[in-house]
Amino acid sequence: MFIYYLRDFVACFGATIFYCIIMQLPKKALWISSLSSALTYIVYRVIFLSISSEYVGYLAASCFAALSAEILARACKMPATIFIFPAVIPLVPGLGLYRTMLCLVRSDMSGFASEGTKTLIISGIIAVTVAVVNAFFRSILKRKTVAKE
Amino acid sequence: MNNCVENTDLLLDTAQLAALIVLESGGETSRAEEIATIICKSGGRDAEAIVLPTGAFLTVKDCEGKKISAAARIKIRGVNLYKVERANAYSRSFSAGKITLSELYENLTKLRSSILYSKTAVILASGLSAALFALLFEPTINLICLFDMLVAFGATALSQWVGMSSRLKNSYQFTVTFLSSFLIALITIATVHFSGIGNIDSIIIGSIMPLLPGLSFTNAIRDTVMGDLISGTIRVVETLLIAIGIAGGVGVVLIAYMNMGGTI
Repeated sequence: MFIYYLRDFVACFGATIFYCIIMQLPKKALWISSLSSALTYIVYRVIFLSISSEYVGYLAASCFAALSAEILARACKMPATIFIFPAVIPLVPGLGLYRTMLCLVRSDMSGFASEGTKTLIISGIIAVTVAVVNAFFRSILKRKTVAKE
Repeated sequence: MNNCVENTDLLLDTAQLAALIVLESGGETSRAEEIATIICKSGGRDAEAIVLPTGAFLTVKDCEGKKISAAARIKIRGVNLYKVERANAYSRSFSAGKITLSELYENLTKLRSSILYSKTAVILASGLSAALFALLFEPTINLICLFDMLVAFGATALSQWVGMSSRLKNSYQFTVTFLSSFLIALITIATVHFSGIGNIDSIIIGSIMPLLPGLSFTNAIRDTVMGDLISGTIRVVETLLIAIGIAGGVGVVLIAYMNMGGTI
């Protein structure tokens, strides 16, 4: 069991570092955002394996990713976008898209519908969580600056 | 008086350049609007900016109260977080009074053509990232994983090299995505078929990860939540288009393989 978690962590950490180079992430943020991405995936795996609900796993993991991105952005004084993108990379449902397409290729229409819906819901969960957390932090910050003025 | 008009012109150019850099590099629409407005306000002019994923419109009042406006169209959109971060930092230091307007314009012009990681580095990085994603999606850990990682590296690096080649550089994103995923599936199927070992599923999933539109979908929902409804809708359509491109490119190869008697 432990070796699988280790595999997940190492593979995720490395894959995100190289993905960050594709996205031209500033060098200062490279290591820390890859670490938060790997931890995000571990959060997903742990929750998915313990309560066996994919949706809750994705919800918790993307909450973790968005919160850590906002905190890192405040700590490093960079836009939150720079930390959000790397953190959600391992959650992007490539597996779902592939399975959906595979069902279509095999002309398994009920499989296509169920896999497609699942993929859509998962990507919706990730995107909405990230957007809501981001908007929440932004509105808090705005209120603070208004109060200062 | 003449000097004043010139100054407003430069201000407009600078603000538009900043907005265009943020847009081209995959920043949120609201950030592009915010940066353009902040630059104009810091230069002492009233301004209004409307930014869409495909272009930016900007109107500034000059010192006589006349309105000057400019529109610019964007054709190529990618993800370049270095440019987003720098454009943000430059405009903030301008509004804090640390650099002058002409310095800001110079910095932004340099930034627009600057490269942080070279083309070769990006191609190698996408290959390595695909290899590690393939490892991540393996159902069991054994020696065949190494073979899968090698195939994923080769397929993705080659497809990225083709996608970034000069001939395809200015063509539509859909075409490039379709072609890249077609190549990935073709290489994977051929290698696994002729060698007899390897896991097609994990190789293909790992290899298409660098192409997936997860980031533009996240941006789409963020734009929608923040009230930029038009940008949000356009980005959702863009995301769907890319996803269909990937699924189509891989699907064509798989259908052909199954019709030739292969099993997936």
